[in-house]
Amino acid sequence: MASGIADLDALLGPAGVPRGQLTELFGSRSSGKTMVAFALLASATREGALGAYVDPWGGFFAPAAVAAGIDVRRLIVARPRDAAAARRATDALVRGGACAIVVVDCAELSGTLQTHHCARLVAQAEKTGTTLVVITNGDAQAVASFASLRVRAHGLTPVWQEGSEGSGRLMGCIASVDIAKSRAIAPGRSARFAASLPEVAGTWPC
Amino acid sequence: MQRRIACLVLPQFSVEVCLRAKPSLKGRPLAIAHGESRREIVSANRTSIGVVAGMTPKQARAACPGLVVIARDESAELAATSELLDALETCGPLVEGSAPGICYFDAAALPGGEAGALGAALSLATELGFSCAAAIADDKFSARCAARVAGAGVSIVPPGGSAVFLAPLSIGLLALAPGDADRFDLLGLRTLGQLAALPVGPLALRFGERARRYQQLARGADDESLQPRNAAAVYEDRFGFDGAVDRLEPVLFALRGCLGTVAARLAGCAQTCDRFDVVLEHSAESAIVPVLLAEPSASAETMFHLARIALESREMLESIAAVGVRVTPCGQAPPQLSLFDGTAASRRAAVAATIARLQAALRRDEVVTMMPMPARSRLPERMQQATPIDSPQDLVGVVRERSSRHGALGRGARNVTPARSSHVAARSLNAPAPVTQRSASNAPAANGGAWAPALRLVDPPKPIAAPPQDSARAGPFRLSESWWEQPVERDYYQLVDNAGALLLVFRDLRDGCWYLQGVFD
Repeated sequence: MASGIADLDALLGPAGVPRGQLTELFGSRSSGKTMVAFALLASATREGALGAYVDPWGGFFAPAAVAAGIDVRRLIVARPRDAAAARRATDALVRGGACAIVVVDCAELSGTLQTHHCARLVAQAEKTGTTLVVITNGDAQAVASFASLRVRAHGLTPVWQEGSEGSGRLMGCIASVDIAKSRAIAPGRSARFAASLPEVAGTWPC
Repeated sequence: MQRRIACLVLPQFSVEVCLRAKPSLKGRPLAIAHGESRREIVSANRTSIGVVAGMTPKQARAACPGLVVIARDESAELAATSELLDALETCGPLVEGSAPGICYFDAAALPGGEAGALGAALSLATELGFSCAAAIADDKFSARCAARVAGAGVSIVPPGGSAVFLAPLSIGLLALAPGDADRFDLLGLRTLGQLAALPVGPLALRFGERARRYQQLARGADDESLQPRNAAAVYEDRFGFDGAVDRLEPVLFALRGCLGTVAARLAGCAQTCDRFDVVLEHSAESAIVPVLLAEPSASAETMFHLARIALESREMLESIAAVGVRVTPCGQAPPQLSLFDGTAASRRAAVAATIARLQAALRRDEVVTMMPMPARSRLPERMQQATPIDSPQDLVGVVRERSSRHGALGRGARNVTPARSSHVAARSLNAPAPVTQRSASNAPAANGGAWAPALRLVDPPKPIAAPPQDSARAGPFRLSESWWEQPVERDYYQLVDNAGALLLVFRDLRDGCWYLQGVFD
């Protein structure tokens, strides 16, 4: 499936993000990995499919999701209370087969998915054709070994607009990603793309 | 399978029940009055000329000298209804007696044909001493109307022809709320067809939510299903262990048997449930685990699977002496099986199964849709609303099937230039301002689309140390609200911290502390 980000899609080639397989988006804090995940969700929900976001960290922000183009009416947000509940929720979403894409945010819960969890989820995803995207901070060995595509996010470079009297404004940022592992293309290729910051209700950007 | 419902209307039911008990009154003018005090005439035989329902006995006797007024015997009517329904069970598999003098039975795919079934039903009613009219249509309301206008004969509304049949009939056939008949009359609405032709929105605005029901009936789309006779209010089954168990496997083994029994009883009565309770009896007390099904079902396998997920996600398996199941039927017809993949039913079933699994694994408030609410508040933590998902209908539309996703999303969407969401508000600058990039790496800006960096919210805001003065930042954006309850005064900044992370922080003007509100990621 396509991410909808032209530069990233060009990087991934015709295969795009593989369906029915596990894709890992990893990087340090504020590296742009959630933005890529949102782009995938936006691409799926825009086509009328159902998406899901497993959010054990409680960091999902609906205005940002809408700004990214996600149809939040077609998005199931699961907010499990702990890692075990997050695994159960992910299993239910992947096994159910109703969601085209399931994004699991494990960046703040290291060790959420172990080897046997990944094996089970990958098998179920292959069976149901669900695209499983796991967001990590890069230290999830099991996820890395089971992922058929690993995308590393390098960070966000802010773009400021100078304002009067020294007050500035964040206009957007430049994201940089590269392919750490792929079954379809050679790893090491990278892409950069700009992201502009929306304004919420015309008041202030966040 | 096309739904077909037969209806028998017995217009003289109360009178005929009375005559069965008192045959000596046959041939005489007879009226039945409601209640012990006999204040209102509810029915009269054909020899009672001038007597109509709603009269007082005094008025009725004035209209028809020699009239005999008898108090209505509800117990005798119930017994007669039961007798008639027993007889009708030879005509159709599912029989309902919804009101005195009105009986329904399922007439779908009867081997003898619809006309044969109606003829048999009329013969049975006549043998029992009742005069009646009978009709068959796609839904209960159309069948009842057809029986009423059929007089003493039979009427068959062809499949799919309910709306056409109902169109010329009087709007008075609807069970209208008090005053609605006059209001329809004032609007010039006389027939069901006129009502059906109106748009539902303005009608609901004028008459309230009941207008939707009126129009549903007028359009021949009554979705009320037959309610089976002798259906239990609650189905229960229980399995007691020889000794207390504290492992999941024996509990699940016993539970499977209980659910199989209960599901068979449900299915046997053509009933479904949308939730059930698993009762875990400990030595001193009981724990109840509610399980939601998202869609009505009588499938033991579905119920067992969801119960297993619900039990696995809870830690209450200590010294269980018995396990039980308690099911309350929801009164909805069982959904049709989706025999072929790719149908809307199978898609809806997949969504329903997913939601049911999630609800079994998590709490209700943990499976939600999140909607932005920028008008409610400008505080990020209040700028969105989580709504629990209770049924597949909560998710907009019907999800496209996998085949279309594989096609359109996989190929077509790749060539589509991504467009910004229309939800995003854009504020234009009065004069174009030059954009400068200020970064540690001085990296050049790439050719870009218009993708928004995602803000990961920190809720509640986390206290942080004051950022260095020389850190790259934008702001402040002053925010003051809720002065009437919990005053909020904040100065928001977007800044880059020492680790290079792009953050949304604020300084609370009330306590002077700094807080982390979100991380751009």
